[in-house]
Amino acid sequence: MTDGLRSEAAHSARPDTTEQRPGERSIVASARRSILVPLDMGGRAGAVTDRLREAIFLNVFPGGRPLPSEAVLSSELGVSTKTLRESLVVLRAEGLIETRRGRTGGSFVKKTPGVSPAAVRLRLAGLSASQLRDLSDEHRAVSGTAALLAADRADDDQIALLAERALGVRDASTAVSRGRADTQFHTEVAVAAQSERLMRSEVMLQRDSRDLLWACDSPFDPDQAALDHQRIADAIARQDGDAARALAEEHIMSNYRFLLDKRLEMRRR
Amino acid sequence: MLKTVIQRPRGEGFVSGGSEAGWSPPVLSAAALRVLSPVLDSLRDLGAEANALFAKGEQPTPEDLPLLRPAIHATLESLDGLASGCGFLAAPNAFRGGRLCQQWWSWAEGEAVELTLDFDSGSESFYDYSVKEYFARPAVTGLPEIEGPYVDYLCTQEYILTCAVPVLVRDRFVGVVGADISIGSFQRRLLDEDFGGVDIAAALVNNKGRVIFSTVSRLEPGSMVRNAELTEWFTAKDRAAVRTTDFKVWPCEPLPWAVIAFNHDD
Repeated sequence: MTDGLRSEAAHSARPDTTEQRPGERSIVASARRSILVPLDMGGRAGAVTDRLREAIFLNVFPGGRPLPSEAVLSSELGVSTKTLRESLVVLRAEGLIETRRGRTGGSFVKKTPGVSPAAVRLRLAGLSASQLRDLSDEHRAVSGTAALLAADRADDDQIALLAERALGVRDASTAVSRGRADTQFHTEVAVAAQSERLMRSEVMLQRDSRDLLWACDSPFDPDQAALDHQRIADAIARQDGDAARALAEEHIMSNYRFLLDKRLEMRRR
Repeated sequence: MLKTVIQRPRGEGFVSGGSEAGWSPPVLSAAALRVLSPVLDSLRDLGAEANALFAKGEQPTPEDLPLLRPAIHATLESLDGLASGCGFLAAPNAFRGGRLCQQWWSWAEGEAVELTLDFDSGSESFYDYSVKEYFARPAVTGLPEIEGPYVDYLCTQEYILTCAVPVLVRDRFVGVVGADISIGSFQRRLLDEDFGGVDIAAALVNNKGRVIFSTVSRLEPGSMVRNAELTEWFTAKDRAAVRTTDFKVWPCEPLPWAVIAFNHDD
């Protein structure tokens, strides 16, 4: 049944996908469809910015390639060119896009989207406490259930892989590689859960959250994250689904508590 | 009914049909083979094309791989509705200089699209097919392999089976030809086959005990049958000698799978 849904999504995709990385086609098609739905009447620049930011994180607009024209984007999002331009200013400040001049000019998605602490701070500043809590709720549901199912369904190879990946975040040497290692561990849990949908959700949630956690000026503690990952992996290995779920939920909640504290701290300064 | 004689694969190794009246586990095993035999047959043909490329006088280079396109497209067409992608993956030492390279095409929006994999080992989407089971095992055994079902998060982002047939040139392993099959289309095809109905509690499982298809809702696809006797059965030299207490097992040769049937009360 999911296949039917997916092919429907794929058919609604645009053909300009030549430079996408492998496997991103289907996710991109559905992501673009759900992200680029017209905003409610008079949609604010903030909401437009959120949508475009997500689209860039999800590679709907791949790095190094031009964004669609302002006319196309504003009509797809159902906002005025003026509102769209306000959003582009924010994305430029965050280092996600750049403007090139000349005949082939326009707005381009940067090859490595901005992960400078300044860009991350800007992004976090744009999130309200409720938005963070909402992200946390969804992430908790996805990662918790993935851990529960992985305990039930992981095979020996997957258990061994999880044990290895759990330490990745501790062993990584840069902010970017820490973020990747974190994503990799959680994605492998969803893979071990045998769930295509949970895997996709996890990947999207990771892209939403990982730079906030790892690329900010005083990032999350990698040793603590590795320890959490290890405990989750251990619970999966001993097929204790309830423990795996509880540990995964607690891990995700502590991530977002960290982000909320950071957000509040910014306000105090 | 459980005592039905196990159907042994004949000829090329594919049972042509469940001829017995009524349902029996071997009929399910035969039906699974009928669904997959076109895939393995097509892959053998594609493998012959890949072989011909290497068997030519001069040594081919990665730049010669596009010569396989027509054959890959023909395979994709012939397996429409079953395979979501297929192609050739070269062994790292197949070419001078040794590197990962492939020629793989998938369906996207009704069109065949070339898949470009990320072979940059420092990249997040780095895809090293040479360590995947479907590649590494045929490299050693020289036999066809079927991996899965597994969530392929880097390539198709689907829950799939990957079938692979090794390409051997004068006994030297130069790569595999393979096809990705979404588990959904496999299950639909199997339901269309005459496997005799769903009155007996049975499941098709892979050699890790993972359920591929079952007639028992409790045994969801993707779940594991964790049972020491089943593990023993899969690894035993003489499978007939392995005793199982709670279920009966039938082989699904040449696939690394089995059909297990339970008493209805279980």
